[in-house]
Amino acid sequence: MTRSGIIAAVLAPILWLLLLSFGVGSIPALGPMLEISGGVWQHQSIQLQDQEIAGLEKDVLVAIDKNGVPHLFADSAADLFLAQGFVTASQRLFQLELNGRQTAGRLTEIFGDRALFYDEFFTRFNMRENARSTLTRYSEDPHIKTMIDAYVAGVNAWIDVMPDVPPEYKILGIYPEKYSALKVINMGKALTWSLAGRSFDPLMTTYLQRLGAEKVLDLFPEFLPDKYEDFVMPGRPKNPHPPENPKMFGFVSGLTDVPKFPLPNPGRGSNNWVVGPDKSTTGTSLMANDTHLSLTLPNTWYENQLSCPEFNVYGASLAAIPGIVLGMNKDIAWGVTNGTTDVLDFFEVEFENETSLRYKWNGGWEDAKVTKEKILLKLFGQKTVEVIETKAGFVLHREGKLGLAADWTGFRSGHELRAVRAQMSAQSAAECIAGWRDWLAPIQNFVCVDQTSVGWIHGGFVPKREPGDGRFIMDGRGAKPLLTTPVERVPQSFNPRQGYLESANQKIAPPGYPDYLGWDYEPPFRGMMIRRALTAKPKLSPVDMMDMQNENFDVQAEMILPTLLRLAAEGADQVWLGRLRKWDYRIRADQPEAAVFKAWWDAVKESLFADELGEGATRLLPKDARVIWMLEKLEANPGEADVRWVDDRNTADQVESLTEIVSGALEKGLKKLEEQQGKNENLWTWTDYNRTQFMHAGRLPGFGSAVLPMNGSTTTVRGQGGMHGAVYKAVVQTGSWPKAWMQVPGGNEGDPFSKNYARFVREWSDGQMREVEFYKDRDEAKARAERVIVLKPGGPR
Amino acid sequence: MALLLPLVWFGPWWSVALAALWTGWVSGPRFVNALQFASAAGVVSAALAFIKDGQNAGLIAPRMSRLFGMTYSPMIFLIVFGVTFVTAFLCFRAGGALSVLYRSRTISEKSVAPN
Repeated sequence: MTRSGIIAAVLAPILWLLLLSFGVGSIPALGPMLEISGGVWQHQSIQLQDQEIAGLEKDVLVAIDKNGVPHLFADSAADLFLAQGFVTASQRLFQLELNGRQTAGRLTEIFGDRALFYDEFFTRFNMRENARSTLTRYSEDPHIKTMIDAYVAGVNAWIDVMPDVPPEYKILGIYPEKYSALKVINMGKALTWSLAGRSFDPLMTTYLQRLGAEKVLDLFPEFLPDKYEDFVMPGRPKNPHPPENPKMFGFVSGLTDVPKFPLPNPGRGSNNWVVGPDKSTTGTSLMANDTHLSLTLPNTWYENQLSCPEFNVYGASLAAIPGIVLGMNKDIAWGVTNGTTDVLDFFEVEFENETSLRYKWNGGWEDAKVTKEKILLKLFGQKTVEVIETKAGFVLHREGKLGLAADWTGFRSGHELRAVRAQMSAQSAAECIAGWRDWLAPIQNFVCVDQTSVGWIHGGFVPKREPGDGRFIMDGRGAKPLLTTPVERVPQSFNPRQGYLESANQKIAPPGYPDYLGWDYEPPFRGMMIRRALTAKPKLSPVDMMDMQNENFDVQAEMILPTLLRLAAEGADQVWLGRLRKWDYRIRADQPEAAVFKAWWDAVKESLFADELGEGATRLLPKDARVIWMLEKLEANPGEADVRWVDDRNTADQVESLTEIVSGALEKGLKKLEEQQGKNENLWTWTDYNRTQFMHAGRLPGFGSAVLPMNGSTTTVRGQGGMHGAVYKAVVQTGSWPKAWMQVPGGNEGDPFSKNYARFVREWSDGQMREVEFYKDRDEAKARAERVIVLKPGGPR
Repeated sequence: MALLLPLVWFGPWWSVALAALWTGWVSGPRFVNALQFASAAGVVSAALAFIKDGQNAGLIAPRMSRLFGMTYSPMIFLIVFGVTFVTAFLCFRAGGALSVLYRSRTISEKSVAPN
């Protein structure tokens, strides 16, 4: 053997072993991961047994029902929340790990550089300090402090006694970190961001720079004619605020290169509605709720019952946070949809020079407050991020002397956990509504019912704004105080004459409401369909409510497709025009009509507006209802003012007609489907177009679900699209003891190698619900549960 | 193989590397020997992974295969085989190379030693 041969033979295994030990790039550390004695193959399914836990004062009974739902009975709230932390961690430890890290900018530590973009953003956005100050505020309330501390102790008790770590830890080569109160808050912040971090201000500013205020307001109006709107608030107030007009937008930001931030996807589908006793076949109020979030395995929600002398409540908890956020007790039930109201504002800040930290404010100069935060990298090293705070907000981007600062109501601390706890022991719908006064962010449409009453509140910090505030990047050289004062009248309703209330992320208050709430809400179609179903029958039963949740009739298609078909009568694919004429507007998983319609409709909007709106058009086109109104006007009167949007400005030598645009769009839509699903049109399906599937909470490939065949789209009541959908569904019938049907797809089990992982996903995709077991007391729990265990005081401290 | 079984079942993942290094040192850097040892180690590891998966109702292999972008579940055992094979092969060769180096040094020292 030559000398160089020997050197190569020795060096090669060293490099190989280093690679196996630490991984490189996207390749994980395969050595420990695939180890037979301790890697993924060494897997223990967790089944809770009687167990001693440090910190418990008395025994806690855990009754596990046939659906795998734990029912916890304790003699004190502190014991109850400690047990909740313990039981939740036994099934969801890795999810807790993720939830505690996301907004703290600590994902890079476990996922490597691919998470750095998010970590840098959240750090720069001051989420760390934000969480610390929120924890301080929450801790002012001794009940809430106990709640958090007990839950944290429970999670850590599990970490101390767990027989094995979940597989994700082995795959990522990490070990569970001790849980903390700050991580509880971080989860709350992550959810707040995902629900209230919605903003198109930078993109709208690009449109403003390109088109001017008049055209932008025309394409993105605050209100449309009644036919194209649905409002959560019943009735017609008569004190309108002044309308937006182009003259309000004299300031146009000079920022031209604003990067994409990890803003959350717009909400696409939560619904809730309640009917009062006069409209219910049971003679008592009914509530339906389906909350839509990212479809993840395990589910964001954790189904459980919590019982102690102060309350007995059943519903969905957020894995990582104590208490029950959505659910019912013996007297009331409550549910939420995202309120969607804009609470994230952007400001242009002017610095003294390109590198200065002095910024212009009210004619003078102020020093920005700068703090340095460290982001730990996965293997070695760290990255320092400067958090730059100005009076206009936190600076997220700099461009020459200009900077982009952001302010958000999520920075102001409320007492959200106190509000949640108030619901758990509320005894009436009125008490429930009042309990949300402590809730600040994210704004939610809370509905509450008791046996005789129904109520709704647009709960949270609803900022008082002048018309147009928060639509574009605003002047931050002495910004007027926004997001600091709440409206005097939070939109709400209690026992309305109509006998029902509904919300579906649509606009909150109709024209005539005195406060300006913004322009950016979800389309009205789901709300229209719910209202139609609620008024179709004089009285509704719980089964009717469940049927409504599965409603796949597309009001959007009903409103626009006839117009499209008339406009494209000639010169388009006659076979598909014929098939769409016969379509009943129901979105079925195994049929192609809905896919062809949606692809066509998307292409129509793209063809009409991409030339004017440019690159950003792929992110935000005018709302569907606005375009429907436009096409109807133009069909009736081809010379109508909206004709200015029809011609494709990219084809300078010709002027396209609306008929040409609509016909051409059908061809584009069909081509897109052909590229996606092949040439054989008989095999096209809505399922393959919509591609509903669950992904793993940590985005590990293969740990999610397959594409699921599901009826419905983002514009139907039964709504889901891509990796977003109804992660919690509930129908509650109030009474002397409530009855409820729920579905939490994925179930409670978070272990990807367990047979109960992804439980109920198939039932969920089939639209089935489960009647829940809500036990009155320990005796009933012992008698009816499938398995009973006892958590006892003791164990290692 | 009999020695490898308990080593892989109970030992840390790098115990195969140590065993290969030692075996290579003892038996020299012959290519065929290295191939035989690495094949045996790979087969043992894949077989034990298969058994462990069976003990867990076969729920591990499908997910782990898809983690690596493969839709056919048994492919994960091929990966286990491959990783162990390469580890054992390289370490075996390294052990052999080190033994050659050691022996050549010893012989040269003996040849220059004074009588």
